[in-house]
Amino acid sequence: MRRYVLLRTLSMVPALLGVSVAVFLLVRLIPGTVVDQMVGTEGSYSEESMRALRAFFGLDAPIHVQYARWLGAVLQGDLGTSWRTGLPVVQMILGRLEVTVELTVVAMLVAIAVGVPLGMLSARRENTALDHAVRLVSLFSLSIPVFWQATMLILAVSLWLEWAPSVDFVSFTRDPLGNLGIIALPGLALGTAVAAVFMRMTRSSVLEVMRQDYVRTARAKGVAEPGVLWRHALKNSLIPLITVAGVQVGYLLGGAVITEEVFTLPGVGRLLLWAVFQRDYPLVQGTILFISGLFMVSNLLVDLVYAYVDPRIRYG
Amino acid sequence: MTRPRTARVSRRRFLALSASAAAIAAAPAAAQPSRRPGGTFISAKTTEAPSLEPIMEQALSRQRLDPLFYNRLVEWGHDGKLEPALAESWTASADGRTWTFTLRRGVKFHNGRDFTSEDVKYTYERILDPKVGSGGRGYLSAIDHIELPDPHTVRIVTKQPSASLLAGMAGGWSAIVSHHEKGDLRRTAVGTGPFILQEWVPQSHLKARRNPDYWDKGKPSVDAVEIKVIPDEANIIAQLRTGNIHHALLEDNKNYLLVKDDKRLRAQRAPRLGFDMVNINHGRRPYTDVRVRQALSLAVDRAEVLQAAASGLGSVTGPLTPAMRPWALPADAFKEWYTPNLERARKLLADAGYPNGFKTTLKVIPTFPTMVAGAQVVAAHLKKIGVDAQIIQEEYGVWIKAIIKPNFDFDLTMNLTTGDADPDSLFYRRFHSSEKQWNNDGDPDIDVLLDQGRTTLDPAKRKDIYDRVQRLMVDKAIQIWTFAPDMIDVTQASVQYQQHFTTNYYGFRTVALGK
Amino acid sequence: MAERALRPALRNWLVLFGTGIIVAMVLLAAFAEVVAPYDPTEMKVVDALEGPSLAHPFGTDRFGRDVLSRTMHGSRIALGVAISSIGLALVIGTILGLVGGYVGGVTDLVIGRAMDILFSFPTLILAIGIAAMLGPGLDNAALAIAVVYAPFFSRVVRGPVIAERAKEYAVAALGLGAGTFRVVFRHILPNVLAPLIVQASVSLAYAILTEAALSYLGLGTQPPAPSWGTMLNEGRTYLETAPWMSIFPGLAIMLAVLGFNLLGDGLRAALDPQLRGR
Repeated sequence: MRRYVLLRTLSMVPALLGVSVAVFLLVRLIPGTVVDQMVGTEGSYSEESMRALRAFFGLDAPIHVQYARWLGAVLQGDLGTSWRTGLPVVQMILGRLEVTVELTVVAMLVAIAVGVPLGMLSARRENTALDHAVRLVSLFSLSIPVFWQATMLILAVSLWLEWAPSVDFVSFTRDPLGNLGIIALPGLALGTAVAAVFMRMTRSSVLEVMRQDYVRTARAKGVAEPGVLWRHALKNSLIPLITVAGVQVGYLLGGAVITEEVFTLPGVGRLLLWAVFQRDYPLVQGTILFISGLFMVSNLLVDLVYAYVDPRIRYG
Repeated sequence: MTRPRTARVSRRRFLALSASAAAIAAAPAAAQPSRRPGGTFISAKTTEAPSLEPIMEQALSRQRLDPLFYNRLVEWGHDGKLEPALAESWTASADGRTWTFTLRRGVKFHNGRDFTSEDVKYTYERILDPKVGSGGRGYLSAIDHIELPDPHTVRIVTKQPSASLLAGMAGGWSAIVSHHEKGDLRRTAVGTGPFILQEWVPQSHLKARRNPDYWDKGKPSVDAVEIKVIPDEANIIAQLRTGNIHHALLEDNKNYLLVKDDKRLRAQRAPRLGFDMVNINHGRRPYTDVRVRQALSLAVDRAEVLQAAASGLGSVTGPLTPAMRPWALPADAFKEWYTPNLERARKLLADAGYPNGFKTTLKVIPTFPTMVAGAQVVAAHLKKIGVDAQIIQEEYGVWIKAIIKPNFDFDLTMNLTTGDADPDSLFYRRFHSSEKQWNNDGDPDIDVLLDQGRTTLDPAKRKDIYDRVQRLMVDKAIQIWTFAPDMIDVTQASVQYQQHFTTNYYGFRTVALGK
Repeated sequence: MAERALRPALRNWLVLFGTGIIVAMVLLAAFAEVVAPYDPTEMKVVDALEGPSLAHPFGTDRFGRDVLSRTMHGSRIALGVAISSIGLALVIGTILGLVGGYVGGVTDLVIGRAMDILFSFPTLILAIGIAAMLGPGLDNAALAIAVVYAPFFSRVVRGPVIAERAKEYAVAALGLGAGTFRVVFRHILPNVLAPLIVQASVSLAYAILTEAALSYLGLGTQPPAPSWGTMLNEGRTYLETAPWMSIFPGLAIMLAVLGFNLLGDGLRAALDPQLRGR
């Protein structure tokens, strides 16, 4: 076990290096640079001024030199400065992290609280009207695009309740109620979509496990139904559930762009999208490296939990 | 939660209360405009400036914003005439080459320094220095050198008589910065303007407080302004309805239909300088042939483009938009080409050797709603004369890289601009063959007129020249001008706000929160 | 007794329903030109934004195009993108997951980390990057979606494979001299099918939604081609004034998602070795 943990943790280093190369190349393969952005179509620029701008951003150096410069700085803990805003990249990311993490946590809580019990209920009452109803509702929530659902929510509450979630984010520690008022709608919007995935995963895994011989044996031995469900079924459906949870956390950390956009939440996703559109290389690179790091840690935890839950999983 | 003061009471109840109160108090109260100075004016917009750097940042959102923090020597007034600002008065020599500006005294920068002629020289020379790379160079390129006889006088000598020098000085790039401030102006603003930047949290909000030492006494009326960034306009509408914000300039004109009947809100409409267009690459076949371009121009029904792209809230425009009042010819002047005539278009195509039309591409930036909608209408119209225009969407950065000089990698592309208040500023940089910024074009007849226009100081003669330019441009179908969307500002009904034809932030200097 | 008799029937009924939806979609996609009352790209700006009527049962959009015809034609794009992208992602992801989970050790680590690299790129950003590089268009959008979703399948497969491999029957089969290939395909693959099918049916829905998001950024379907995602997006800004513009393509997406999922459930039940022959 200890060897596995060590190996698994160390394997993140080459992976992060891989990410750094991938993101470095990716941003440069997309046509257009920050200089083109700044020049636009309206200003009158000479070749000379364009050259001056390129040199200013270090874009005139060969690509491997640019990479070496960047990596060197990163290894010393310096993610650089945003080209467009002139702010340190780390500061920009940290300023956004709270929203993203909070949104992720709220969405996951909603998803687990709604998805898992419904999934179990649905599995226990397989093929009854209740089961069908739960499954239909979950499919319904799964199939509404987030951007559409979010717009609907905002319009509906502003028209009927004459209330709109504030666009000034306040942190939970400073104003818990105000904070919840802001995070509730988007958290709900994101959470219900993820809950559907949880519900389906729980249902199918529980059904799976309930058909295993040992569960049938337990039932035959007269163990009460809830006991079977808890002791055997749920515990054994943990692996696929943890997998899905890991996947969804990753999706939420970087993927809530559209929700953040519609609800005006200052999160990491929006920052990244903006950075890509502005061709702000240091900001794109820094943010992706950061999100990747977070995500890999969450995956590491998932894998370690696997190993813990199922002792048979060991590396040779 | 910081709600505007006016919105504490539920708006409906408030209206009901004030209506009955007004009934009792009767006319006198209503006759007097209830201007209460003070308060924080809260506005929202969908995009924000990447930086505030006044001579480097080309983003329109920066140009719009900087009247809050900066002044120019001369500025555009509400009536479309140039007014004294940091310059109290000016004279031009008889040959039109030497301009002498008398500067306003007692003006202070936000950093406490006095405003002097040094600051003007520093600012303009920085803009003109090719090594700096300012996008505003073209506006001031007539300047040969700048002399400073004393701290309150600036003498500008131009290479030739320049009719658009003052307009260039009032334009989006010519804000005067303090010559003591050599640092990075991307995150700060050190001007002489009515507001002092207090806090800027990117993608969230920007706060500025009233400049107590502002030279234009009595302005601004409010204590502070806050500009929120709300990327989704549906949310902006929601925030207006619930009274969380005072003001927004609509990006998507059809949202006007959602607010126009709302008693709590007031929507103002005015013509905008900017316009939408279709650029044509003159360097590529078959667009080298004027008949092909004319055929396209005849096929496009501009009124339908306006209807679909901006819900009809705007006007069909020629090369100069209706907001450029003294200069623009009305769209009627171009009836010959603006009335769709498919028969004639097909004949022109046949004469040019394309009796069955041809295939072409039409580029568009997906995040610009009027472009996407306009492109689909234009493509449908072109199809009627056999021109099969395949729409290609390119993300902004990719698109810019492709269409700018010298790449010109496009056949047709949708485009839009914020426009300019002066015809020389608008035309020369974009259509003169020495500049050719948009269409890879160049026409000797137009060149001659554009050269004359920039050095002709007599307004009547100048007007005559630009009338001819406009007609020639449409006759030769240099590109397809489609429409100028209206500028629509929505405020809470209680707010006194005056629109400005260049940028809405001039309106922030005088805005007052009523009641 | 009655309830017991009803269960398989009800299950069959739902599966039948799902199959019916998908078959209808396929037919619609194949014969859209015949069935649709109008050309989906034909504009009539004077008739723009009209509500549902006899002439236009689903109303018209901002260009006066018939929403019914566009929704019908949209099924072709939706099916095409969803099936091709998820099909590709399924094949790539499953193979990588099987190999990684079965072989274990360094191979697993390498595959796992490579997937992590892909995975840790935020979905939309990765898709934007790929689409921006390859150029806009439907094929490239499908490829981008496939690359984005492959790691999902690889991860979903890997976990159960590890668990299955350790189980007695696999060990026994190997011990009896069965080839690795045979063990993987005969014994292990059927056992990971259930989560795989669930994941696939869910992903098909996500693929349609991702296509919509890509179209929003101009990297998917090029206008004026009717994709449900694009229609929904155009309709989003008309939610108050012309809700029919987005409600009908929205319903189409929901039906498609429902169809795929019910079909998936049916397939899962049919393929489940424990359920077989019962």
